[in-house]
Amino acid sequence: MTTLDDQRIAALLRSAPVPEPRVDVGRAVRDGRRRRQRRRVGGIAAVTVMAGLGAVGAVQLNGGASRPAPAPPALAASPDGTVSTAPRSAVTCEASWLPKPIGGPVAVANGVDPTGRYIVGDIGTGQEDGRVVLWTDGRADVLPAGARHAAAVNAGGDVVGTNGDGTGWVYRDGRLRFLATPRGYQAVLVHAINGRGDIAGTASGAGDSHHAVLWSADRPQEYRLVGQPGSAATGITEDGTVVGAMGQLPYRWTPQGTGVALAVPDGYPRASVDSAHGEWAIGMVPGRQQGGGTQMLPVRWNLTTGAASLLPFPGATGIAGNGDLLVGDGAPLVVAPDGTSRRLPGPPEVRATEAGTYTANGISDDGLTVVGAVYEKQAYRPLVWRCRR
Amino acid sequence: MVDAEREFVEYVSARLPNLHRTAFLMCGDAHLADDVVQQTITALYVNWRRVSRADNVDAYVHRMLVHKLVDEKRLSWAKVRLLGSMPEPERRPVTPHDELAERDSLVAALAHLPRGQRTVLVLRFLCDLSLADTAAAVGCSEGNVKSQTARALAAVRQVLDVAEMSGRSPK
Repeated sequence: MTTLDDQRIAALLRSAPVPEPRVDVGRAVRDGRRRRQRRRVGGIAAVTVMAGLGAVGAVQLNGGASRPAPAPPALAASPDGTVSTAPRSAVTCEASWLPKPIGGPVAVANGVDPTGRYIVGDIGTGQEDGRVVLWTDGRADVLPAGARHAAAVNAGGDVVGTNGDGTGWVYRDGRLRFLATPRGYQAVLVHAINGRGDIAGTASGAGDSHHAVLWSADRPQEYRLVGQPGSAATGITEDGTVVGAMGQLPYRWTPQGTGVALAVPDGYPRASVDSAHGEWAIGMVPGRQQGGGTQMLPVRWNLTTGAASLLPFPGATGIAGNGDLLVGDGAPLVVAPDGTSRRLPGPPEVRATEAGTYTANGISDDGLTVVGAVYEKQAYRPLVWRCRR
Repeated sequence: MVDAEREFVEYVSARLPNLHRTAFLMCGDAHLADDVVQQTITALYVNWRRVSRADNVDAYVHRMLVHKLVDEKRLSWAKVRLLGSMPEPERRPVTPHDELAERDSLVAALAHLPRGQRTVLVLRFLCDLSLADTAAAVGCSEGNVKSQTARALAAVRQVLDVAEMSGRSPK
């Protein structure tokens, strides 16, 4: 299901007007309890499963209504500055395959946490049956099938993502939980999670309405809307700074929720932000018309100085906390803020060098771990590049 | 136990808007959608401990939703159908927009599809289920899902293209 037409139908189904549901979660629990009781009295074989049911009477329910989290998350100490100032020339990198715990011709590493310890990816046939895989120190675990399309992993190994039906989820300590969809909206798109467990994404509803949202990995049923209607969040840094858009302007919000527009490079009508780490954010501006589409040009922002600069590359796929830029151009390229760059070597057994052989999707905060995939013989294989200074 | 109950409420609260949307688009009747979702989550509560230990709660819920809808339709066989077509959905006041016309046409197009086609279309496109998962939810073969999806898509595309030609202003 990849054609535009199919996507259009999916989008229409997601936004088609439906009446407000009149469903009562509290009633389901009450009715369900009664039915369980009846089963028990009826002496059906379910007795062992139902043991201890008498205890449920004490639980308080609020009818399942989710409430926005009122308090902004407390400010944590800024992450310790691990930015290395050593000369960059002595970096050596090596590519290695990531193990595949399950089969599937499309196996891709999509993201890495700031420390480089956790890597998250998808394995499947490419036909919407992909399973999310979390590699911890190289050991692979498959997440429950209820989790699809991982977006990010944080330094604690918490993974977030969005299922195809627009439900957000967080996977923490072996447990999958779903994120509340804000009242009045029908779907969410989850983009990022920081080390404190703050999760950033965007809720969308009828008539193209949307709003930036923050959740906490501890309390996935609570949420806080960020900014005004029309806002969107695509990234969050370790200190809780949210980046995204307000209308057509690139935007940032402080951890307290104060928003301010980011600079749009001179001569361009608008810009969008894709992600942020440390004091850096990357995104795009619309460039020349090319064929039927618009060529998007990559931009980098320094969130401390506010400066926006166009990047002389065809695209930027990631930004490290130290400012290293990941460019997915042929064999992946890592470019430091001072302009020096290094190309990452492929595994020796990979011969193919044409465009599209390598995909690089994520970079750790020190710029030393990069994850992605190799496309060869009609199949994608996940791999990690590890570098040493 | 308390944990299990909290997990149940959490799961259902997060999924409710989508479950209801799924049910409504499958049957086109707001009250029936409410009933079916209420029954589904009640059954889910009864079986929560078993189902939540299984790998995929969503799969169970989708299967349950489809079965409850079929049951309801069967029960209503003998009743007089008061509504021959889709009830008019409540609309919010929104500025005119090309997409709005398309959405309404889509809902109308769904109303004319046979139940099987309608169900697989919603499961495949709204719930993003794979062929295999859709087949499991509906209880038929993957080949059957494929052909029903193809027929449903053809019908829906036709309606959308007509709406596009008559409703779109040239850009």
